[in-house]
Amino acid sequence: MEQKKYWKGLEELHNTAAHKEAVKNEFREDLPFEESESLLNATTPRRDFLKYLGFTTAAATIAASCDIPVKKAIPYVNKPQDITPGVPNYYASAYAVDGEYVPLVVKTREGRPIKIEGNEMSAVTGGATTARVQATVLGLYDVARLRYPGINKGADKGDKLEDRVQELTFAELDKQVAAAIAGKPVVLLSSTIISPTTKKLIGEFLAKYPGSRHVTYDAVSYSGMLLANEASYGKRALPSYHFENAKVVVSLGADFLGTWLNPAEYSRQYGANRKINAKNPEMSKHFHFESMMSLTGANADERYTHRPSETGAVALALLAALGGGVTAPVIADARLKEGIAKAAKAIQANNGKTLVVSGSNDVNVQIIVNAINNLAGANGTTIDWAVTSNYRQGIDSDMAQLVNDMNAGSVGALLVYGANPAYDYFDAKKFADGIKKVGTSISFNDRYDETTQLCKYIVPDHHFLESWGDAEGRTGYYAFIQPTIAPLFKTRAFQSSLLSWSGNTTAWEDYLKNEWIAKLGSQEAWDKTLQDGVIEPQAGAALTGAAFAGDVAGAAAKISSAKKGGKMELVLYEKVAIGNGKEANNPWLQETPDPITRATWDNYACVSNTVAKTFRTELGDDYEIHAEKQVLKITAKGVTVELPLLIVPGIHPDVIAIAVGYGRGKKAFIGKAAGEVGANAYPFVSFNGQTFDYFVTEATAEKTGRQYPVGLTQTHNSYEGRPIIKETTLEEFIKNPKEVNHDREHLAHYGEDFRKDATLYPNHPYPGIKWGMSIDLNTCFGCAACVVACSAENNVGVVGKEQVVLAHEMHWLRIDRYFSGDENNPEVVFQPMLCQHCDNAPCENVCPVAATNHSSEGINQMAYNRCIGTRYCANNCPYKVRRFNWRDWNGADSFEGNLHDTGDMNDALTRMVLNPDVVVRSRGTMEKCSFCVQRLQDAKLAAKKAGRPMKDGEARTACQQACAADAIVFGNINDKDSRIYKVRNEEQQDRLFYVLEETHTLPSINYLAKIRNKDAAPVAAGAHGEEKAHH
Amino acid sequence: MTAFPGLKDEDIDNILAYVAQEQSKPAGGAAQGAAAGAEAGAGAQDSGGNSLLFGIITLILAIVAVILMQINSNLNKLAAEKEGHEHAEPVPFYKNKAYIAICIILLFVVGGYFTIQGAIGLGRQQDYMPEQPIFYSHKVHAGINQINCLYCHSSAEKSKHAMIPSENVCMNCHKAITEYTGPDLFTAEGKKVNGTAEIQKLFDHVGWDPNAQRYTKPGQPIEWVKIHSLPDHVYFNHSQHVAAGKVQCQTCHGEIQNMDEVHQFADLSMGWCINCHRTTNVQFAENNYYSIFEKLHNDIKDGKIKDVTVEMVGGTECQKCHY
Repeated sequence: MEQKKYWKGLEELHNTAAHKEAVKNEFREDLPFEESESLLNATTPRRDFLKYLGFTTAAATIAASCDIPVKKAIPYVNKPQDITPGVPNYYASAYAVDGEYVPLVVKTREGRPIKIEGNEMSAVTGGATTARVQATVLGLYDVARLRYPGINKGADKGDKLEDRVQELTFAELDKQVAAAIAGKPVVLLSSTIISPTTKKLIGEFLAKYPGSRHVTYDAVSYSGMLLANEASYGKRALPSYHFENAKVVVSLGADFLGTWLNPAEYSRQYGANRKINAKNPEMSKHFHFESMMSLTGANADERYTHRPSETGAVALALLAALGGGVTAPVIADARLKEGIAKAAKAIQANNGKTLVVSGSNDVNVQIIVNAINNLAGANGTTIDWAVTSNYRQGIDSDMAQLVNDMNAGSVGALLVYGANPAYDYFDAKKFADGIKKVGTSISFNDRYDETTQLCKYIVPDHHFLESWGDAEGRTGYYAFIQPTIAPLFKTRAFQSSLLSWSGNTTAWEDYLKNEWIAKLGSQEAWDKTLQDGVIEPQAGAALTGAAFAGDVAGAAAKISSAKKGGKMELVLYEKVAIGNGKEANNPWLQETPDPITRATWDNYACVSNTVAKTFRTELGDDYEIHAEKQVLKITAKGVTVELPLLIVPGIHPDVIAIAVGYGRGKKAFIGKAAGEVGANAYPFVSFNGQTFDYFVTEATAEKTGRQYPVGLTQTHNSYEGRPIIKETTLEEFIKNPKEVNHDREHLAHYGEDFRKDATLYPNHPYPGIKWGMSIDLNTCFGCAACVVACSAENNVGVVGKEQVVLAHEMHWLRIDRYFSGDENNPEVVFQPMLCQHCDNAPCENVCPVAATNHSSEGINQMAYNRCIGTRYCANNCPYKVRRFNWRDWNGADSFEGNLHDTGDMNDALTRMVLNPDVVVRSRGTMEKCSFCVQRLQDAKLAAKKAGRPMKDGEARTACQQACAADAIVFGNINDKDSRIYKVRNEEQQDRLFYVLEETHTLPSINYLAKIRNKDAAPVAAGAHGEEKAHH
Repeated sequence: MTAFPGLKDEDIDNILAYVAQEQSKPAGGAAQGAAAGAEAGAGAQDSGGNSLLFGIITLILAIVAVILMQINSNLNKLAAEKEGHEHAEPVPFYKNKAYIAICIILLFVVGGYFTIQGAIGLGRQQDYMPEQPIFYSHKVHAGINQINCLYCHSSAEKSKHAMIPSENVCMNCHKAITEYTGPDLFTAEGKKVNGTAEIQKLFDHVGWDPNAQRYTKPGQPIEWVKIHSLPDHVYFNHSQHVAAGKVQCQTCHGEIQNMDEVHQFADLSMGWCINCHRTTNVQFAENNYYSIFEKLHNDIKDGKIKDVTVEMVGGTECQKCHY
């Protein structure tokens, strides 16, 4: 069978000269110090060399042979009973930022939270996490957090935080605030709050100040859905979605695996239907219609693109095709038209087993989507109206009204909690002007952000890992938040401030406790609840539908009369790691490569190759090789930004896509990681009188002639065209399950047992445990939760953009994104790539000091302190997974000059996040995935201490635990009852393959071939015929 | 029957243990801390005397060899002159290149040996015995009063750290014990220590008034000086050794129950760790965890091996301690 060609970028597809050059020189690197002309050309360089050598030897000797420092061992005065130094404690908590609902378990060591896992007791997320959730533990130690309450002295007081904010005691502040807001109508402006007790408290607080109101404002709004649901079903709410019941999923631009509402929940549900049971192969079919290339789109079986202005038309056409009695505007694109027809057919064939979701914030589009779901029988089968979701509650017109009121001077006091409109409101200037006319403004935000800079009083809230709270994600589904560390700074819970200002002397902790003890009945029940972290109804309740009563004709008429797009259109999107930008000052998230563009630390203008060609005539396809990107000047609705041009295959040719969440304020206030990075795209948002539109129908892009480097990891680690991915279609797999792996038959040529017979090396015995991992390419969606989890667990360094450009990124686990097929409508495969722990590891043979060698458990061990940094191993690794410490990223060395600080990662505060069980690697050593050996050792020790064999699932790697869709299975292959043994030997033999198996590296990680639920691929047609002839 | 019917089994065990212990010591090394201190010391002196003797003999022989070589060359020279041969002016020995080369090589080898030995020893601190803020005698507590080590170092079987006990643990007993009545205590320098005054230091730290029998001020932690320090790149877990491995505290920490002031008994070098892992048996039959090692179980059954050492279950691999 002809190997399908996979490419990471166009340069690889066309195999340009620069690409060949880059691949050839992958490991060539100039020495990292500046070349001194005078030294090399001096008359006696040899003598100088000896002098330097002598001096450094002497200096090192003196430095090293000084007295061993006296270390102190200081015990507790009175040891808390539940703390044993060296043993982690786990506390249940929940991530409820901006409406997301992810119940958590927080690992603390000696009182410091160091790692976050999903809470498996939750029926909603089942232990799933996302990249952003994994990274919040670093947010706790953010150096840029406000450290004390105070009063703002004004923007003219310089660029230092201490000059701008004058510290106040809470008592003094409470006195001043009470006087300032007494008797005035107060407006509380917040992002979505899903805490029922906080809401109750807000109600009580506002009642004390007659005329007050609470305005919910979401930076990326879903108010179109809320209003459409109100119009269709009489409920201003979001239903709960059940992707696990859907045989057909149609997404109209909803990135539900990456950023839409609550991606951890939906990834898990969706993943359940993407797993293949080899005995009875079936999976859901996923159609995706969008303008840019989203993570969810990349995972779709069939993906079609349209202009942002056509969003409504596509929904309408789908409804029309389903017999909804509407006429859709003409759709010119034949491929798109065909796609809509196909999707409609699939929906009709699977009535009651389909789910249609839309990412549009337009009320009319969402009404049409509701009508489609109603026709398709989704209500009560894949959409539950009895249990609604609280994930987003912001109503855009309320916010617009508030800004008008502020400018009219009718707002007495404004309290801002968790919202940052001065940055993310489309008319930030109007908001900023308005806040000046507000009597008293108070901010509870965690840093001196754009809005806080405009507020008079600053009362920083705790980080959620320091505070008490609850969260109601879906109606009746509660998760609880408890402190995992004493507050690091002089901050106070937002709720405590409200209690204090409404004259209630109860502490917030007691308020919450009383509230819940009243509901639960006893202190014991409350303690149990805190231990479990969730209260959720028993599973098995039937889903409930709702009667659809939307005005379809009216909505259709409005869509039909919508403005047509111009030559180019612009669409805004959220990056999977950065989201709306609130948590952007997180070096882990900034360094996580975007799943699609593989770019770090920046936002950029994504365009198709067709558009890009008009700007880069002189560079051709080599454009992607170079970090330096052309800067475009993009203008739409009178707003101009300048951003580097990035080619994204698969984006609609008339569309420019820009990520929001960048272009934050000064580094000194926002933080070193996010401050002054990229450009703010929120000004492109517009208010259509009802909701915010996250696209512009008329945009222009022109060359500036400038260049700007972007830290792309795409071109690093080339496989030089070797076949490393296997995929097939569901139809093909059912017909001939062996086909996808038929090239493995060639291995029989070496003898009966490929492992033993194809090598001269002796076979490693694995007397006790042999670790193995299986990664299912079908359920890996590329969301990068595992990448962040790995960084958190293993103290993986953050290198910063300049070093990413030099291919010095340190991620032990990367997710390679490959395109295949048509350059304009490519298919995408994600492949997590980490150390394969080969049984015949090529790296082990070339290490001159045996720093990397094989363990009796099948782990390719790396002894950092033995490593002398020759980098031979990295050169010899066919998987390109070894990472070299070019600098001291984590402060491992005692020599300060070696430090390389990015985003304050070397600050004493940030270093509190380091895992004390994993050593921080110093400059000049090689590192790589260890299979989380510290966790394996820990699990083994627990079993040893209990005197029993280890149980399957006791030892889990960080990536495995983080994965929302259970794509990773890990365990002891020697244990015949383990899941990994069953996957390999009983369940998935047909799909199982090893990357570069023919080289006889014998990896410990196997992959399961990707299966697409699509019609026979048009590209594969030729190869297919050939294939038949071949047999 | 043994040749020494006067010795009991116990005595033979003791002798064997003593021999094993002495063998594991580097020759000529200081041998304090051993149970039979005097005899061991004598033994060390004996071997030291011998090597001195051998050294002197070697030196004398070397000098004799040099003199003989000089005589030989002089005689050669005289013989050559007598026969009338032209002969180059002899080079004095300090200008003789061969001598110089030999000296340099010798110097390099000897110097290199000591430099490397010194470098390996960097950061190691065997016998380190710092002065502690309180003269706390392990001998009084663990030796004379027979308090179990794990009473105070309670996390040794739960955690990677053995943990220095918090002051509230001290106060469990010292609420009642306010004066020292045991045998006289002396510092390493021979200075007499007032035990009661040392107990008072504890009370001062913890804020206890022994007369009023209550805490009168907030406690301050005692800043003990850490003696046993492993480098950061080593993962060591006490519970692994104490709970799973059933290793006695004294194996690594020495006869702690006889130490007034604790010193570092072992050098805590990697070689020392590895040696123990090579010779120590795991609880192979007793601990069910090891039931998965089928081959080793079969080998025991077949009589191929008697015991299973830590090394045989992978205990000397890099990533058992370095990660």
